[in-house]
Amino acid sequence: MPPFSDTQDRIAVPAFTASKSLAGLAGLVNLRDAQAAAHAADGAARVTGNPAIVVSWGLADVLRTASGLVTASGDRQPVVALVAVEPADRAHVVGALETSSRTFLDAGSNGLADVADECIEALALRAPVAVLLPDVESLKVGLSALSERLAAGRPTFESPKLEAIEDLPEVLGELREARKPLVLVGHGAASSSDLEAIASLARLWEAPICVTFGASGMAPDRLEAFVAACADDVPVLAAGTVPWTEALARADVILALGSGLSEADWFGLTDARVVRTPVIRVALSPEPEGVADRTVIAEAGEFAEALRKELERGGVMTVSGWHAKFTEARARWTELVDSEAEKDAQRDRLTAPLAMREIVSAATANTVFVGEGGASGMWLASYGWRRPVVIPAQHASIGASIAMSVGIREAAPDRPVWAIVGDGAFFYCDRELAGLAERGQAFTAFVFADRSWNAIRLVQTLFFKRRTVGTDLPSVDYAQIAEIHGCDAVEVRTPGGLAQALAMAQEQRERPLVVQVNLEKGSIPFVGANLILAELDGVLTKLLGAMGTSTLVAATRDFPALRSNVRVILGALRK
Amino acid sequence: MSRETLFGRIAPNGAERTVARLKAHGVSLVISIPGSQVLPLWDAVDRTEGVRLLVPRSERSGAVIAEGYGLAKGVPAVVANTLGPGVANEAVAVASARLSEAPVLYLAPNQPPNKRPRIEEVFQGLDHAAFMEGSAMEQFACDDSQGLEASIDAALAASLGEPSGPVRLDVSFPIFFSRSARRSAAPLRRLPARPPQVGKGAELLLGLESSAVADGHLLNAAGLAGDAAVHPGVDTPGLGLSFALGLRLGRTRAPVAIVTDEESLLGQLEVLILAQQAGVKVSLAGLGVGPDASQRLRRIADQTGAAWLPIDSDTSPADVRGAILERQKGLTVIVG
Ligand SMILES: Cc1ncc(C[n+]2csc(CCOP(=O)(O)OP(=O)(O)O)c2C)c(N)n1
Repeated sequence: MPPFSDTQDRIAVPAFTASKSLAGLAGLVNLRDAQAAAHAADGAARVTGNPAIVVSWGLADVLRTASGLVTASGDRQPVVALVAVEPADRAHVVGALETSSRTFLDAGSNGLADVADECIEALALRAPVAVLLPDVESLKVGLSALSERLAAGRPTFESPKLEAIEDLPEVLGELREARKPLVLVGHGAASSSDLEAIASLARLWEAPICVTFGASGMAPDRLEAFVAACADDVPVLAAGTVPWTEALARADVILALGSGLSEADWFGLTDARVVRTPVIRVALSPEPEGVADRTVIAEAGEFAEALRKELERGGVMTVSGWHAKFTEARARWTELVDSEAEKDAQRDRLTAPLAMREIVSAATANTVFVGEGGASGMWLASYGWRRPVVIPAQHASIGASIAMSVGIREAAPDRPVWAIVGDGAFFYCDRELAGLAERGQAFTAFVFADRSWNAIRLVQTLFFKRRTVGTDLPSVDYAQIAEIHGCDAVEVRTPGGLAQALAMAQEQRERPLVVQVNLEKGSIPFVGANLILAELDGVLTKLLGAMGTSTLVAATRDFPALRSNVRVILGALRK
Repeated sequence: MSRETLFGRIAPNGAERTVARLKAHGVSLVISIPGSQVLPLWDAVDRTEGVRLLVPRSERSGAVIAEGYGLAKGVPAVVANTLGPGVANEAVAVASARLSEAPVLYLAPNQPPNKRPRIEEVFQGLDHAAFMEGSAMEQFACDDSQGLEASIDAALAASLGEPSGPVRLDVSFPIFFSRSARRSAAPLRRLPARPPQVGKGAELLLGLESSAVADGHLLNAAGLAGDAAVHPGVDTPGLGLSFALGLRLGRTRAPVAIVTDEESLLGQLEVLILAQQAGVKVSLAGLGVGPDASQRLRRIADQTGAAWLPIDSDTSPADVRGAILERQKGLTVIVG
């Protein structure tokens, strides 16, 4: 694990604020907006795997911070929000703080001192914490006390011992019976478990590994180590991609390691149980109940090791060729997305898949990619998955990427940061570009200007028989606006133009570069939403009935990825 | 409300019923950033004459537009953002409307009841009601399609109550999609009539960005010191322009101006673009700013399609005010 950032002089952990009364505290990074400050702390936590702090003062800023904290909290990022308001405003912020964090601590007149232990404990469980302090002075004191304490070492959690689990032999035995096992690696495992142990288990068990959206955002060093540990013989399937969906639909047991299963919605394994595969979940917390058939409270890496030993002892029952199927499926998928891009390259058309392929291949190996919940994020997930890709998973929030990049830039100053920003989402945090420019920081944002809320537009065409309403955006000169914020900027319309812009991005730069990539409105690589919405009324067949087979067939022409999703849906229905 | 098709009559879906009910109550503006779960509402708004859809560039900005609109019009706009992160982004605006007592109806799709026990782990799951507990004036929920009209009535009535303010209504989202057998909805009861809370009889409606008016300097220079001014309920920079656009959209006659500062403007450039899209002519002027700032502002005007108002420190306060008054249907942005 990388140590805490040592680039700041007084505050030893990455810490961010937008509140004027706190500006000037040494070591605090100032943002324009308090929601953006929360996203920045979130980004810092994601890239290091370690805690980061956001500090806010006053009703408006604390509520903005709470808005931003929702995204961090969804993905269980160890972000601490230290906040304070006037006494009269307390009642107005408590609900938002409680709901946007996983642990809310209301500090009394002693300030942080009284709740520091609880705060550290919560962080060890990777739960974002909100601490409401009595006044602005206690904020300042609390900030330095907390950062010192965090700098002393990463909070760790004493997980329950495996030996103490009564029915362990039974669970292991049940898993050993699996003929088509699948290992789902969630964010909890990705951030703190022994990933080599998980890779070894999958290798012996001949099981494919599916990585959740949350886990795709694991700290870059860990991702690199994980990809290496899986080598070529353990197929790792990226969240949301077609082989991922197919593997999850075909498995006869899913071992979910360190996952809250929020992605279950994406593959039909929801409460409505469109897909009925048994799930055994291993996690530190019994919550949530519902999707998993059984939750084992244990450390995921230790459990993986125990299961591996059990398999060594008792033998593996996996059907032959099971995991090879996914090595092939992944290769086919990689080819498919590549040919999607290549087709456009041949025609000299700048489309999202082509742009994404070119951008990913132009980046150095240590580049951190930051994305959003829209279509551009889905392309990023498809092309960039072997790289560190930070995309809000549980909430698939849009609009956070620029602010998250600010935090990533601070916490991992030696890594290039490239963001893929939707044009719809551009204005959520565009002003934070000014801070990067003022600090002279290199950073590249590619604005995917397809003049639409594309991810939504495509769902719309699916629901309403190709009719779209309100999802087109006016054309805006994002490059000029970026220049107004103090950045270098270019606008590109062709593959050749993009190549030139990429050459600029590769140069040593002292200012952010914003590349407006004008794209044709296009497709999306995967359509999870149709499965989420398949739950309407709890009955998938109704949806199919309502849409009509012909709409569905027409839709598969618009959405290449839907074809395989439809196969999965129909397969699930048959099961 | 039901539609004739080749296959006979189709019962309206929940979204169509929602929009019909809102329209019956006189609501004419729906402000929404999309998400799959609100799409049926968009579709219904698009098919309904007299109800208009405004798509802002962030949930927060849209919600602040609704605050200004509610104050100037006396009839709430409906803010319908997508569930989870969409609703999360509204927090500061909801609190602001509560403090200014602006009538706003926040209508959100909600996760269906079967998902709520594990809401924290559901895709885009957020306990909206708990999150907004301290911000919203009152909150309602509708999980039963049969009670849809009644809950819309109750929420709208509450937003226009004494005091008026932001009211939330969470609707289990499958209701928007599902067509239930037609039965009679609760009879429509007229809502309490509320005159606009701001700008009654005033010659112009003046919005303020809190950070720009620490001293009366700028207001004096613009000849606006005598005008009644309103600002968002929460005293924080960065909301003023959205607020002013809301005032403009809510107020059909009389000019609207906003006094702000450069940094706040730079944080809200999208509002200038959105205003043009909404058919509002924006004029931008710098007052008492240096030549560099003036040049920057002109560039902003160029980029956002705003007209440049040629005034400077030599322009007399009366002339500045006169220029604003000339822009009857416009929105004038004074940057100081
Ligand atoms: C804060 C928030 N609001 C709304 C949504 C719903 N949403 C998902 S994708 C999307 C469209 C994004 O459009 P754009 O940023 O242009 O990206 P594109 O899909 O076109 O690549 C929206 C609005 C969300 N995920 N998060």
